[in-house]
Amino acid sequence: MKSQRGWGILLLGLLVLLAVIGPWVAPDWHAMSDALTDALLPPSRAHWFGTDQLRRDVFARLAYGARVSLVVATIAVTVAAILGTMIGLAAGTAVGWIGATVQRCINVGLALPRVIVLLVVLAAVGLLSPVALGIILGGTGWPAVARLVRGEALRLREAPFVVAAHALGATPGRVVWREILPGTMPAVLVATTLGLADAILLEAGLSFIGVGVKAPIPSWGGMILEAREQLTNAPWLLIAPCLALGLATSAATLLGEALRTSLQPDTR
Amino acid sequence: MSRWMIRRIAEAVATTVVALLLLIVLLHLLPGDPLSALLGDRGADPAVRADLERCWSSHRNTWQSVTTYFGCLARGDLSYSLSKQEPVLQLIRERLGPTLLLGGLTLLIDFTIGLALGVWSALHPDTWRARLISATTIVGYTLPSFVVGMLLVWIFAIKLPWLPTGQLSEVTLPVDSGAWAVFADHIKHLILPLTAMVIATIAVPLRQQRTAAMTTAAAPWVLAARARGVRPFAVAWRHCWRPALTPIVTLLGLWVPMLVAGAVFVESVFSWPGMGSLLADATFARDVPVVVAAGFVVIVVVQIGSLLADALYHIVDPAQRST
Repeated sequence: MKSQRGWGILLLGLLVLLAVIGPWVAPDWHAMSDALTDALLPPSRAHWFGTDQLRRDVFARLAYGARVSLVVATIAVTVAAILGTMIGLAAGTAVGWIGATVQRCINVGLALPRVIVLLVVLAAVGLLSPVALGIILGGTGWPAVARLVRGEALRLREAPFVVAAHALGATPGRVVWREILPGTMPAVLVATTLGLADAILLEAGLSFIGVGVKAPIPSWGGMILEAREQLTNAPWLLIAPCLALGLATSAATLLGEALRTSLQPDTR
Repeated sequence: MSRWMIRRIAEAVATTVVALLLLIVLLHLLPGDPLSALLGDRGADPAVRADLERCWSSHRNTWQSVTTYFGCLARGDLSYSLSKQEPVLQLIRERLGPTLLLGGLTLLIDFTIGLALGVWSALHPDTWRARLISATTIVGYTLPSFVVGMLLVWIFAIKLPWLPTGQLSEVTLPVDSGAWAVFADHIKHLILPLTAMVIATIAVPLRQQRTAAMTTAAAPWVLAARARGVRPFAVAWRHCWRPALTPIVTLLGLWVPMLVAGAVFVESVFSWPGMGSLLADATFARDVPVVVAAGFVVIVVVQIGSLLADALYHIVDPAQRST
């Protein structure tokens, strides 16, 4: 599945490029043209993806939205990876009731639908900055990582080199940090890449229902929400963010699946 | 009712209670005092405040507020909606039906047509139709449900004005129209949301079933059955599908979260008056009592679903019966 990985990297690279240099090349994302006739223009040379009802350039908003989306998703998966690894390690290596209790916690976390927890938090705290939104998304994404890490840790605990380390008199802490933790990293990497797609989707969905990224900041979900009012006369407002979202999630999914095949051949 | 079943039910109940407990504790850990967080920027009308104080008070510590809320719940008192000015229980009663209809039909289609298509594409791997099926599932897998919904609205309600853009039924429908007209109207309003939900969720059962059926399709007994001249349908049904069935049941664990998320976002696209759009609207309005209560109902439904799935798994897989 070399081509899968290639496509994944290519698409993700394109998005990062869009996020990094897009806002710099395109007109200012919140600049409203003075000419009233500039509202809802179809795609043209001056405005690659047209303009919206507030006379803003759609490409600029898309590019800035890519930045927001990628930053939020990256923070989310980083937080989820750190929390999930720690909790999963605890569940997989602690002996007796502690391990069992942590395992119960992971099960409850898995049983709680992520969207519901997010909605409860967002209803209580209101609109957040993109960074805070990323942290909260990460705070609800850890159970999936923790389950994988726990499985790996349980498997590695019986591995010959871990048993040898024990026999050679390594402290339990050393065994966990130096012998078991590195072995769980491939699983964490795969879960993180696949989690990127989930985080992007969730951020877009939350912004679409108006509880994610705050309105003046462009986000793909928010752009789709705004496009809703203009569906009859300006479909490009809908198509552009939909394409971007599809591209982003396919990139993360392709890359994640490719990593899974090369890092964990036995899980296929 | 075996001992296993009783233990599994106890586990489900414990999970649900702990989940709700965590939600309430979480609300307390968030900055600000809970009641003013509930009221937000709204002025505190004394009557509303009193109504809220019953289940959500600012003067209690975390433990007390947990016991208070659970006490309210035990009495069937779900507090009062701030944005809709209605008891939460009544709101949920109105909204549960449409969601169960949409979710139930999605379940039915996913696990009949989805599984059938999975088996079919496992048996005919290199045809254009199989490629079309897998391309469609990839689209459903990568595009968020609300994007699928919006694109469907654009194509089938705006470009080709065949179907309504949302709601449960037509407001302008004459009151005296016959039962058949009302039914047809409901079906018309159901098609697009249901299609969006199915596209967004069918990938999980379909792909899993295809993988499982591909393994059994290569099994010697399938070749033997074909050589004996067993009808293709019987080969697919009895020789490929039945042995590949068990993994499907455990799949619900992957599929249910997609359904819940799908319900929230798709119902919002189509203004479908269900639990999902209730949750979305209430979150937007920062109506915490509604979000917590509706979220709790969703968790309970999900737990019942996974309990049933586990029971089914037990029945289907003989190896599980002795445990």
